[in-house]
Amino acid sequence: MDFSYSEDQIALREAVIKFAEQELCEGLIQRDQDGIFWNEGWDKCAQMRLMALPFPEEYGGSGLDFLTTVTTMEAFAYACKDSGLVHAICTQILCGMQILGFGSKEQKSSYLPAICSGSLVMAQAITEPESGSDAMAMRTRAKKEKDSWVINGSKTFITNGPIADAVIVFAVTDPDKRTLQAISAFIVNRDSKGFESSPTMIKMGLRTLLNGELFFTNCTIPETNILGSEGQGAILFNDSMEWERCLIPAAHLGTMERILKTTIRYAKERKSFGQPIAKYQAVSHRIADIKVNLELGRMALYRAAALKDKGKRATMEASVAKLFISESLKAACLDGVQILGGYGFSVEYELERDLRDSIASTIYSGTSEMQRNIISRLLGM
Amino acid sequence: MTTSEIIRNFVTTELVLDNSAKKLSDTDKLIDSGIIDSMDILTLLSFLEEQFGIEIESDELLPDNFESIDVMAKMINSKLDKIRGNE
Repeated sequence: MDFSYSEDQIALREAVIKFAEQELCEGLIQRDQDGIFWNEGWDKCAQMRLMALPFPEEYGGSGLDFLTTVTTMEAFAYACKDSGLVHAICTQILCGMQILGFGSKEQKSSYLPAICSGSLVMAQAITEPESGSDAMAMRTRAKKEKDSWVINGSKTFITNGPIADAVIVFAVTDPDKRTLQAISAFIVNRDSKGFESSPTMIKMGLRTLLNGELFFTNCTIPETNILGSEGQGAILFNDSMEWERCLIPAAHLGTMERILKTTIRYAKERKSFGQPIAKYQAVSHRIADIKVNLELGRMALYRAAALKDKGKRATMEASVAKLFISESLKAACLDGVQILGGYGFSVEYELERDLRDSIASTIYSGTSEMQRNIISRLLGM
Repeated sequence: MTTSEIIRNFVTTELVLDNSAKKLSDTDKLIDSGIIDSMDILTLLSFLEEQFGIEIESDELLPDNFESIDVMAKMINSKLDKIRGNE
């Protein structure tokens, strides 16, 4: 096993860090307070081709392997403090991965270039008001009528939902069948008849990421907008979760590294009882734990991403990485705020926002409890 | 062991922890009867790919391809035949 970055990976990481530090640092505190998505930042990231990283060149992508995509997103989240913007871009990439993996030739040609260029904002709609962790208990229905699909139901907490131009929607197509065969996925464009989105939800954290409800009332889409085959939705969902449980934790690792750097700098500068607080083990051990979790998280994540690059399944590895990294991120944020004391609690030092943003990391993409369920099942229990 | 026997052994010992799968036949509907669900399919996919050294492509990830031991065995044997033919 070679754990070192390639020269190309190092160059890309450095370029992305430089870009984010120069272009993406302005106005975040205010945007967070106002709950505003930064369109200009999105456009800048699109110009930097961050949304194009893993897609084939024929679709306007950069043709990078998944491990490089993961290490690049990690670097991006290290330098870009706007976790909402980072998350929105991850969602964009993940929707594209579903279309790349399961879409028809026409769907790939139609959507992937616009996803890579950022001209089209994507969302994925699974969660419903009465089905969260038990995602496959969804009630949204899609019925075939002549050469169309007619969708009825609603989705909630949908990332990018309020601004998405197109949404990958999961719906029940055959309620008489078992879950595994009952669900299908569809691409619904915003201008589809019967599609509406709610205003943005107000959240505790990730306030620059827009989440909302989506409503489908006899929403009619062409027959060809089914993604994959009829009844393939549950398998498609499970497959896509492997990518998601690698890419979003990559961003979490970047945030953890920033917190590590921030706490080390503060602990060395801040003096208490005549010496830097870094000299007190009560402080230095907390920081050492952040470093340990960062390194262990990297190993778990890079292994999962490398497996995906080899075309292997990484269900267990992705769940292990997601569980460990999201829990570690929350712990790192709490420790960071504690080490910075009153400054950690103040908005100006920007750690309190990281803490608020981190809370949802153990909820979305499958809660920590669901990750443990998956790991247990894969262990034969 | 035949392909069917290997799959049957995995289903009965790893996926089903009660006695419901003891009398499983090769043509029993695993999904329709609720023997495997959407989480089991992940375990099954990992096992099949690892055990037989095959890759199951996106367009093959259809519930119909996993509906019984017999159907899975045919899909896997077909893939193995292709691999052997290319060697």
